Amino acid sequence: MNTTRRTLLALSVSGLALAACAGTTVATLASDVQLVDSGAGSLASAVMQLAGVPAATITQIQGYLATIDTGASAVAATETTGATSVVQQIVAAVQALVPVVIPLIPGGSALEPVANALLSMVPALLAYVGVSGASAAVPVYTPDQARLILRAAAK
Amino acid sequence: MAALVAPVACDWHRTIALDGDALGNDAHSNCLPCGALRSIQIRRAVAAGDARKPTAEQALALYRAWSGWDGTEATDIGTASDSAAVAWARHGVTWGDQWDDIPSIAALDPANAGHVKAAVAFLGPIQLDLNMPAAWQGATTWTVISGSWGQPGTWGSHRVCAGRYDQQCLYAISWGTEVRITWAALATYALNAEASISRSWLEVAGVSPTGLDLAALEQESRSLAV
Repeated sequence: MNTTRRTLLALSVSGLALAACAGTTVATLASDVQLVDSGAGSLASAVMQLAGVPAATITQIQGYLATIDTGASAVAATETTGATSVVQQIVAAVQALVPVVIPLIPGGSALEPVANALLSMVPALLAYVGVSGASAAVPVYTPDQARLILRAAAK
Repeated sequence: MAALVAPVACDWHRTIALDGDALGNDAHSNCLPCGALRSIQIRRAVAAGDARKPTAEQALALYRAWSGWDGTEATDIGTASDSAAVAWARHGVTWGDQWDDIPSIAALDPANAGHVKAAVAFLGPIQLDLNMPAAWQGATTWTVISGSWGQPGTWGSHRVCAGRYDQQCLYAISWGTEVRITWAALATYALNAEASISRSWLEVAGVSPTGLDLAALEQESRSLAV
C-alpha cells in the first residue's frame, strides 16, 4: 500500500480503520529474493554445463539470470517494500526461466526440485508486494520447504 | 461506520446466479479483475436489476489493463491490488454500452468483523485479498488450519469478492463459486479488504453511513487520476 493511497483513505473515510499490511519485513523479502537469485544461478549453471544445450538457449538463460540478479540487487538496496515492479520482473524472469530449463534436466536429477522450489517461491514473493494472483494449482512446496531446497542448492 | 449497526445476516449474492464460471481464473492469475467484475455484477443487479454477467473475455481484458499481462505465461503473475484500486477509481470499468463503474475505494480492517459486516450490508460487496493456505484447495469452507500446509501463503495471495455473511461466516465468490470463510479464518488469512463505494448503490440502498464523507472521498479518488 503506497503512501498516496494511505493518505487518501485516512483523509476520506474517518470511520474505517486502515488494513494492516501483511507482516512482512524488507529483510524477509530481500532474503527470499536472494535465495531465488542464488537458486536460479545454481540451477542455470548446472543446466548450461549439460551436453547439447544450444547456444541460443544459453543466451536466453543468461538473459533471465541477469534480470533476476539485477532485481535482487535492487531489492537489497531498497529501504521500503515499495519494490512491486522489481519483484514482478524477477518473478516474470523466474517463470520464463524454469520452462526453458525443465526440458533440459535429466529425469530424476536433483535439479528438478530446485526448479520446482523456484516456482514455489513465486506466490510468497508476490504476496510480499501486494500482488494477488494465486493460480488454481497449489505450489509443489511450501515456502519453508522451498527455502530449504534453495539454500541447499546454493551450497 | 461505527454508528450503523449491521444486521445479523446479509446476502447480496442472491441477486445473481453463480454458474461456476471462473472468468478465466482457472487458467490465468486474473483473480483481481474477476473480483471487481463480480462486485459490479452484484451492485448493478441490486441497483438497476441488471441481469448481465461478466465474461472471461472481459476479465482477461481488464487483467491486461491493470497488470500489464501480455498474454504470456511469464507475465501471468497477478495484479498489484493498490495499483488496481487506483486504476478502477481512475478509469472505471466498462459495464455494457451505457455504464462505466467508477467507485471510490476505501480500506477496511479485515480482522474487524463488525466493520466487514457493516461494509457488506451498507456499501455492498467488498474485495478481499487472502494469503491462502494450500490446505484450502478443494474445500468449500475455509477455516483456520494448523500444520505446514495451513500456513498463510502456502498457496499464494488470492482476491475474492464477498457480498454475504451470517453469524458464522463471510461468503466469498471465488473461481465462480461461493465459498464460506469463517470469521476466525478471515482474521487469520486476510491481507486487506476494500469497500467499493458507489453513489448509485447508496441512493438505491437509501443509506448514509455516519462518518462517510462521500463527496470528499470521491474528490480524493478522482485526484489520483491527475
